[in-house]
Amino acid sequence: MAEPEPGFRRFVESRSTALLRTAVLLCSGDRGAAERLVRTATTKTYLAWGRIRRPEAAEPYARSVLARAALGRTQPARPAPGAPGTLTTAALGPEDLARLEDRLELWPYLAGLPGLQRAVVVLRYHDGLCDDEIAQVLTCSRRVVTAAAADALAVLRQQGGDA
Amino acid sequence: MPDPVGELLGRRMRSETDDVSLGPQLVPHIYADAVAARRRRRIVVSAGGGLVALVLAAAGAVATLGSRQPATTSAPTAPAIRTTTPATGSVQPARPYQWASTLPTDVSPQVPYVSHGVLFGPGFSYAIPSGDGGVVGRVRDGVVLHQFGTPAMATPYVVVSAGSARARPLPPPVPGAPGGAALSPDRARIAYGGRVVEVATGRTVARFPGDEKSVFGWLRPGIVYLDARGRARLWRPGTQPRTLPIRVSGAPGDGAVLLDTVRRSCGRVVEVSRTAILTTQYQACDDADPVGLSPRGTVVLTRGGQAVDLHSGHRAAVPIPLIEAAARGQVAWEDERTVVFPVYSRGGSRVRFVRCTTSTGACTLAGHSMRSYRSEFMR
Repeated sequence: MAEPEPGFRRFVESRSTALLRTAVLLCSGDRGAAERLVRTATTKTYLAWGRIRRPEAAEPYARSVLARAALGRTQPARPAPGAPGTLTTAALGPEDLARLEDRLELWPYLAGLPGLQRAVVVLRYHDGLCDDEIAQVLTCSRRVVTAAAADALAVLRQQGGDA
Repeated sequence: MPDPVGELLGRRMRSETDDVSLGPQLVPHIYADAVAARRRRRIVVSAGGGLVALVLAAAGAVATLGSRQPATTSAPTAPAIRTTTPATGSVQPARPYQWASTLPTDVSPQVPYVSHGVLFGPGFSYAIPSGDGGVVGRVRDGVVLHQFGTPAMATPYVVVSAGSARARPLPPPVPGAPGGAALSPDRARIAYGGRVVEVATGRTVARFPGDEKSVFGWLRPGIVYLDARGRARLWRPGTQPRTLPIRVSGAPGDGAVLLDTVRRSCGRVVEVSRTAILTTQYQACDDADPVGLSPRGTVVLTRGGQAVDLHSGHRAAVPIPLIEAAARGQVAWEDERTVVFPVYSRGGSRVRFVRCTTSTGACTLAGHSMRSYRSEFMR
């Protein structure tokens, strides 16, 4: 079977694990779905390989395809119904944080989030993207990203704050 | 200003995914998808400049290619299972594929499996029309096969009869229903796509409660599935589902045992009652962390490369390729003590099957090497 060009192979061999880890989080721990997402994202990246001029631009491109494909599995990039960012935003004390650390079950938490909120927290807190970059990746406004992150964290704060 | 809750979440996400690594098949699949997608695009582009008839012909070729080599396949949802890190002190061949060739040759796998687009069953083979598929399990008169295809096939689940090697379609999944399928312990019914279907007649006998996300398995006490909120649920058709307070990582057989992830690198084997009461059978961390379980739950495969008999306490070292296959969900149990699993050549182009006895750790080569195009799903 023919093989793709060396540049693409180097990209796949060096960055697939990172993409797979992001995909596993975007799929709430579903490894099979995550592998399919990675395959979709890398295939689209290969089709765009001629347009991706710099090797370092390949990963952001693939990550963008990955996140949007994950969002497509759940819902379009729009905020959840209701006013965004209206849940509790009270700061947690050290005891609350310790309680939250004990209680936090990552996969049920991620699975319970709407797709947009899940994508935002994964890109922000796992991949380390800033809100402007996330807005670009998800093709939505920065305000939507900020509100989605606030709502996703509010769920956690509630867990930490509940005695 | 840094948000401590966000930082906590980031730390947890990194710790939960830092043992996620690529399986041996993912990179070859990525290359195959990429090459096939570019080939399809070239066909369409070259046809676009020609006559309408030529375009139609190219579309036919694209459709054919699409069915044989899908870029984004619709595979069954599998439970997420962590990839293990090989431990020292157990059999760890540097090159599993070459290691397999040094083993004494034995009969081919005695369980149905798919290799290179062909379903191999007891005494028959069946070329899968879509080119790819996965085995759901054996039934009275054949094998239930999940055919993969892009776009998703209308009737992805079929019963391939052992005698005639012909496929009988089962009803289509409910639109929007999640993936995953499981046969009942008596092999008479199958749960998939929001339905419970009688295998012999194809009649839908029950509908899922509507909150399911993926089906893990069908144990004696009931069907175990993950709901939309990420909770494990136990459901007997005709009753209300009950929540299981565990994080299921596997429901491997027809008995009443589940693998539960207690926390990172720690797991346990629990027995489930009809009323969702859990009894811990085995619990351990690190090298003793369970990654595989025999169908009736009497033998545990551990992350460190041991097979532990829960009844007698007997332990035997098993090869690390077996543990790696268990972590990928690719181990098939021929009986309560014998496993078969695939090992791949470098690049994943060829596959050999290895059979091991868990009570001794002794292994044989199960049949000859074969071309490998897709993962071998064996049940």
